[in-house]
Amino acid sequence: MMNKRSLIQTFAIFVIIGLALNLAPEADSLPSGIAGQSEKGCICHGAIPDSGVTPSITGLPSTFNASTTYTLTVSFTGGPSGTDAAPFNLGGFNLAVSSGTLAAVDERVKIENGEAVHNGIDDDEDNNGIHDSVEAGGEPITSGNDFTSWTVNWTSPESGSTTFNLAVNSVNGDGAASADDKWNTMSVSVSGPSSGIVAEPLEPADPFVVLATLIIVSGVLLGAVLLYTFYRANPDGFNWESFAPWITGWLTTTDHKKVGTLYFLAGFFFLGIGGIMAMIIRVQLAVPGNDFLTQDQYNQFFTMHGTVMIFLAAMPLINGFANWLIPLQIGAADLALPRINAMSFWLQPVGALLIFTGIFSGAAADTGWTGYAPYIVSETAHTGTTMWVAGQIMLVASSTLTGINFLTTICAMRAPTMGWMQMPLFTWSIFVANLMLFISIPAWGVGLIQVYLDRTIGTAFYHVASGGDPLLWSHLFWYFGHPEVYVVIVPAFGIISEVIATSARRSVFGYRSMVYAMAGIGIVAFIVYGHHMFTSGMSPTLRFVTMLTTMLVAVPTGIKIFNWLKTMHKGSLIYRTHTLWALGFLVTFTLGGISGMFFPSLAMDTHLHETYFVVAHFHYVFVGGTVFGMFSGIYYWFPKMSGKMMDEKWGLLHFLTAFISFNGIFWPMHKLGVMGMARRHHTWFVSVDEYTNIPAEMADWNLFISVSAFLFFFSNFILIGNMIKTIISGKKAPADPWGGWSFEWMCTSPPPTPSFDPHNLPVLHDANEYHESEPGGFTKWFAGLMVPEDDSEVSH
Amino acid sequence: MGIASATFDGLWNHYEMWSAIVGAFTFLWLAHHSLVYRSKDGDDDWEDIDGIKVGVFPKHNDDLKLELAWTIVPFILIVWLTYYSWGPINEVWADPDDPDSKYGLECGTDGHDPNKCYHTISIIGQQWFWIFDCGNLDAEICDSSEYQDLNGTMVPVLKLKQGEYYLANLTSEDVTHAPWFVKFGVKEDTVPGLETAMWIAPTCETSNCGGDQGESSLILCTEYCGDNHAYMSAIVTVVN
Repeated sequence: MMNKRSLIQTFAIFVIIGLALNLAPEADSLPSGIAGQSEKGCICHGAIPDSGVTPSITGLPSTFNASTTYTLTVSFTGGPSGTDAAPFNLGGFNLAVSSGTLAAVDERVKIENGEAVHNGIDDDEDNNGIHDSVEAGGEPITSGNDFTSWTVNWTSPESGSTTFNLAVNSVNGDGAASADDKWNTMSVSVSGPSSGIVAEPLEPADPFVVLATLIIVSGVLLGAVLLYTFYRANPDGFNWESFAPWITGWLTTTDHKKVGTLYFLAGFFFLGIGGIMAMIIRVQLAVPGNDFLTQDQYNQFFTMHGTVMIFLAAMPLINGFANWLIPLQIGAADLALPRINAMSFWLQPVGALLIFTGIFSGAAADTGWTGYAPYIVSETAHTGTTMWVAGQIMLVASSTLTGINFLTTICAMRAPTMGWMQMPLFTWSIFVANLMLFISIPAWGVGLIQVYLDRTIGTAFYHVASGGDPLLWSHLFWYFGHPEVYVVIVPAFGIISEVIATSARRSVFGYRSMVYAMAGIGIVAFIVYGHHMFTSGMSPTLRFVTMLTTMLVAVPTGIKIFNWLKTMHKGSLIYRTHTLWALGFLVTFTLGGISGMFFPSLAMDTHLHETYFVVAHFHYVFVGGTVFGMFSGIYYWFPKMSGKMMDEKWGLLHFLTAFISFNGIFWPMHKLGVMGMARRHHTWFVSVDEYTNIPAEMADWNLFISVSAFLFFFSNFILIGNMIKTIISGKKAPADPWGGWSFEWMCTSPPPTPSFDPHNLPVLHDANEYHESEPGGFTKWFAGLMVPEDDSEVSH
Repeated sequence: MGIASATFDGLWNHYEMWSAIVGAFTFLWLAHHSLVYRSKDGDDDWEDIDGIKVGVFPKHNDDLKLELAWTIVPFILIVWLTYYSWGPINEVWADPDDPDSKYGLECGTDGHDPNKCYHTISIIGQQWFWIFDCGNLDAEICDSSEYQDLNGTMVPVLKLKQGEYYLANLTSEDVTHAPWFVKFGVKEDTVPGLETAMWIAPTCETSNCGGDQGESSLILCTEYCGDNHAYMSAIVTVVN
């Protein structure tokens, strides 16, 4: 029961927050900026239109007659026009019409691309207020920008209505294009005779509507699959009385396997959503100068694609594997903190909902997944960005709790006979990944909270004008962001280690060097992040240091790749789908690793930074590494999780189509980037005169990439189909279908709950002979730190 | 035809060569092992070298010499590549006050070498256009007064002279941008409230540098800055 004192305190806090919100101007919802300014000119005179400039059009009829010529007067008042000494260089205009034709009346106006603009000549290049032609001893040249009003003839179309878009510049005449000059726009529509045709031309669908529809369809499909799963479980009990406890059981579960399944469901769902966004992006980029997405929409799509794929797809899928397998692999009954585990999961959908709020309101975050300051706190960033930040804070909380949980479980709950250097490599990978995440993510959490406060109650961590520091965000973000990319790749290393060894029917080559390499990557991860900031104006010393450390990452990664290859030596490699994916991983991840070596070379990075070469590289690592690794893991452990064997023929088909189309998407991007295609651009152009954005012979690759992207997207439905088919009609799986050695293969498929009897934990034997030795001082201290004195409290 | 600057092309070719060697080595090894050591279907006659059993940590399969070999050899390659990248770094961030750097001292300052000196220009980024300021430089060294139509947008033209060196001081009026001189292979962020710098050494592909017209290439914005990020371009024309 809340006492009076707490009530007063709570009330006081609300009053303070309310006052702060009212006092801070930033608390008003942020304007989303002006879309499509480039179509109207004027952007060289300040970023936003100025209400002090008033444009007007006179001479327009209220309704026009067919094919009639009207003389219009375009003018403006206000702004800095005429403030300097010279009575000329006053301003300019641009008038665009949606139908009909414009014609110049006199030489003050010219027609360009069907639009009327002032015919400007700068007759005062030295800006001394006297015509250059007069200074040269001649007559002054009068030009179109010496006026504040102009006349234009407009010949109306046969029918329909016409929209007039007018933009005007009011300039101070100093000859420099700067923010001191002001501009504004106006728009007016006039209707004419009806065309008599009833049917309107089809409008292209709004991409947001497409996305929202597909999200809803995916949700409905997911619901249908869930219902069907429930029906299959007990066809006779298909009624509400049975459904309510069944669904409640799932929603309130703390069992690591069920939470793992929830993570998988969420991960696959968002993998699909992120994929849909990627497809929409690829439609936009298929041909040059495309307008399927506006720049505003495109920016939201690539932001959400990155955010969804990293935080809502890759991380939950990894957590799905970790939840399922860690207790099984180390011989524990469950995770150390099962309720915290459930909470970590449920923070994710809540965070996701916050992140997606922007999509449903049409103003999603448009900052990129990196959310660079000061753009993220600027007025041009969408209002949805605030919700994006709020959602990310939820995910930070979720990841922190997950980190605590897994570190504790692995440290304290291994079967008593399992030493550190006897843990399966997948367990090691989750340990290293969570350690990295746990140490790095608070930094980003701090950055996010700062941005959140900047965007809501008007603090100034990143507002430059108030002394904020944009580079602080880059440091906080990448201190987390670089370890984060290792957090998503290292578990894939673990999976591949298990799969290759089991498939080759050998023990993994160099177990100890594998562990040290993984730990090495975990440590180096924290001192390389500066390579994301080679062109950010960071101190040269830091750049040099991170160049060296980044180069070093190749060493432990190389050790792992060579160890995997050597594992196959003299083995007896059984080709199953998970084997194919593991071999495919070795190809694509090696390619991604090699392309990564180009970036630390600083003088090369100044060209490659922020191009499609980068896009190609990180997709080779994220998709060719993490996703391929996880596909391998799914085919490998799905029989354990579901108790059914997957269809190998479908698996082969999935591998072949996805592997080929994946390379079709990302391999050409290397070349595109090097040739001059910058990333995060909503469109691209082929040759324009002699200025080459992308050489014509390279342009077709973009179409090729888009086609490959659709093939890749649809190829993954084979996996989904295979999983559903397996659950429905798969053959029953034995306990150890592939011949693995670790504890999870001792359990039945699917494993019981609790996974192991807490009073009869499994015993790990060791094929190697060891000489007994006393644990060292550090081990004793660490063990004392991690294991509570009363062992019984470890259980739940 | 080179990709970007001679510096970039040199590094690129060298890295590409080593990538090909490392890639060929790895993939040949992968192809060999995955074919030679495959098991035939239904073949139960395989040798269980490591005695894999459920619940038994398998026999160690390692060889310290081999593991050290593929720690040390890649390390040597890394050291070599670092060393190879070391020299060109100076071209990226030469000290403007160092008379011995590639770019010498600023032209017109005390003690500058007329054959090796640089001019200072400034570039300001703003949503969504570039402002080039040539300061007091002669129009033949640097000129930024012209605008041209590029894909329907009026963009500024920066005219630079071949063979000269330029130090561009960069800043931004609003959010972070980054001018990428595509053909020179350089870019650097323009950060509001911060002065960053970038060296530009304009070069031409043709021997006469495009004649009177000069050789033109693109400047793109490569730090995401909002709606018209893709349209925030400019043209750099190099004249002889």
